[in-house]
Amino acid sequence: MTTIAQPSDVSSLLRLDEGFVHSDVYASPAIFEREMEQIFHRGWVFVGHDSEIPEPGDYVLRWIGRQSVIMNRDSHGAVHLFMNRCRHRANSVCQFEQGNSAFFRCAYHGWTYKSDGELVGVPYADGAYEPQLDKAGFSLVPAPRMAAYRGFVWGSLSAEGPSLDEHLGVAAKRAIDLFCDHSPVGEIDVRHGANKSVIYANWKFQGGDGYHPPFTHQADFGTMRNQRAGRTSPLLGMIKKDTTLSRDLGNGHFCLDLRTMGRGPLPDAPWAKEYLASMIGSYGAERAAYILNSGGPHSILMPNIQLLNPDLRVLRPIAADQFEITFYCAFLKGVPKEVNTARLRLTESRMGPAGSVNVDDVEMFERNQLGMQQMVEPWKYIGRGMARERVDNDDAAPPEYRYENCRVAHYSDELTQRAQLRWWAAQMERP
Amino acid sequence: MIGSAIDITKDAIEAFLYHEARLADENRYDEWFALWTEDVRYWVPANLDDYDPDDHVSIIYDNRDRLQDRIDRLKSGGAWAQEPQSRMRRLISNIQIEPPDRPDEVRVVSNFVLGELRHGHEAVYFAQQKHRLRVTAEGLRMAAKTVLLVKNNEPLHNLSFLI
Repeated sequence: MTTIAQPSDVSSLLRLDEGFVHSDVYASPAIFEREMEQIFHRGWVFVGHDSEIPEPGDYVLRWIGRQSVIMNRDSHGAVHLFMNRCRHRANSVCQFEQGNSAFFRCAYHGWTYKSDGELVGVPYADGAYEPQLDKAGFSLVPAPRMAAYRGFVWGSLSAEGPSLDEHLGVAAKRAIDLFCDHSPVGEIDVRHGANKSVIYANWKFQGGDGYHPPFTHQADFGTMRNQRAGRTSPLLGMIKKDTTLSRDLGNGHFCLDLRTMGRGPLPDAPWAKEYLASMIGSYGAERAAYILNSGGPHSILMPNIQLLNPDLRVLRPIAADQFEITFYCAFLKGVPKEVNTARLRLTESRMGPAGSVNVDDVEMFERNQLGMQQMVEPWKYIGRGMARERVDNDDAAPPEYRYENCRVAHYSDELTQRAQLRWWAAQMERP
Repeated sequence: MIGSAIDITKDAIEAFLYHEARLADENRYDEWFALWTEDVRYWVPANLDDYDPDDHVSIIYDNRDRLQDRIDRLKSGGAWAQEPQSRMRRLISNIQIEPPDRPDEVRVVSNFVLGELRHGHEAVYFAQQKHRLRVTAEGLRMAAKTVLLVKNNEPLHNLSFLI
C-alpha cells in the first residue's frame, strides 16, 4: 500500500498566519495520496458540461481522481454519470473520449448495458446461474452523487457530504453566471475542441497570482504586439492599479478580480454591433455593458475547474509532481460566428501547449516544483498583502454578479494562495 | 505571377524541406521566418487532423501577424520556456508530391520525427507535415505549413520551439 499522510501531518505543514507553507504540501507522494482520498474521491469534482452531450446517446469519458467515469445522455434525454466498469469482470465498457451509442457493450464477455445503465444482455445466460441472474442488480453503477449548475456537471464518489450548492457557495455561482452571460441566451457550447497540456508540477499550482504577469509574461504575444506598435504593455500597469483585486470566493475558490479594468469597446464591425444589440436585448444596456466590459470572471474553483475567458479549463492530477490541463474553448450560443472565431484566436494565442502565456506558466510551475524538492529551507513564503486583507461587498457590481462578503486584497497579493490552502487543510484534516 | 512550378524538381523540394528543418532545429528564428511568403497559414491542429479552424480550436493557427508575435517572443529575452533553448534534430522522410492548387505552387506531404532535449528531458514527436511551396523571385517559399502531430489529442508538454 502507498503511504498516506495523516491529518496531524497536514497541520504541521502550514504556518499560514505567518504566511508560510511547507514544500511537502506540493512534493510529498503521501500528501498526494491523501488528496486523492479526501478531495478527489470524496468531494465534488467537475466532470463536464451538458452541452458536450446534446443528443440522446451522446457520451464523454472523464476522470474523477483516478476513476474513469462516463457522462452520457440516455435515450430519454436524462444525463447520467456512470463508473466505467462492467459489473461482471470489471473491464472498462467505454473506450472512446466521446461518441454516441445507445448501448455500452463490454468486449470481454459481451455484457451489454443500455444508455440508462440497465443490463440488457448477458450472453449464454440460460442455465448458467442458479437462481436466474437478477439483471436489475447488475446495472452500471452511477457515481454516488451528481449535481449541476447552469449545465456544469459535478460528480462525487461519496454518497454523503456537503451538497454541490454548499461546495460552490454563492460567489462561485456568480462567477459561473458572469461566464455564461457573455451569451445573450446565457448558454455556452463546449464542443469546439480543446488544447491539452501536461505539466510536471503539483496540481495546486493553479495560478490566480496577480504578482507574476509583468515578469513571467513579459513576452506574451499581446506584449509583443504592443511593443511593435510602440505601446507599453498593459501588464506593466496592472500592479499599480488600485481597482483590481485578488478575491477569496469562499470554499477554496478564488479569482483575480479584473472586472473593473475595462476591456474597451467591441471592434467596429457589423458582427460586433449585432452581438452588442442582442446582449442589450437580453440584459438591458447597463448590464450588457457591464458583462462585456468585465472580461469575464477569471475564477478558479476548487478542485479542478477554471473559468478564464474564453476558456473552461479542467484539471486532472496525476501525481504529486504531474497534472494535466484541458483548455476547452467555450463557444457562446446565440452570437454571430465571428464572436466565437475571435474566442478561438484568443485562446490559441495564449493557452495550450504553444500559447504564449501557458508555456511560461508551465515553465514557472516546473521550476517551482524543483524548489519544492529542496530540503534545507523547505518553507515557501506566500505572505504578500496579509496586512491589507479586508472584507468587501462589491457594491459597484450589478446584483446579478455581486460577490458579497468576500475577503479581498490588492490584485498582486497572495490572498488567493492562502485561501486555497485554508480550504485544502480543511479537506485534508476532515476525519 | 512570378513563375511556374512546373520545373521544380523533387531534389529542390527536398533541399527546401531539409533547409527549413535545419533552421527550425537550430532555433534560427529570423532565417526560418524569412522562408514564408507574405501570406502565411501555419496550422497545427488540435484533437483531429482536419476540420474548420474557425469552428474548432487549434494548437497553432497563425497568419503573418500572429507568427510575427511568435518570432518576436522567441527573440525577446523573456521567453522563459525557451531559456535555456531546446536542442533539436528532426528527420524528414516519406516525401510525396501532390497535385498543386495553383500553377506557381507545389504541394508536398512528408513525415518527420523530432527529438527535443530540454532541462535533461528528451521528447519525441512524430508527425506528418503538409507544405504549400510557392515559386517566388527569391526562390521557393512556404505559403502554408500544416503539422499533424500523431499525439495532437494527448496532453502535450510545451511546444515553445519551432515545430
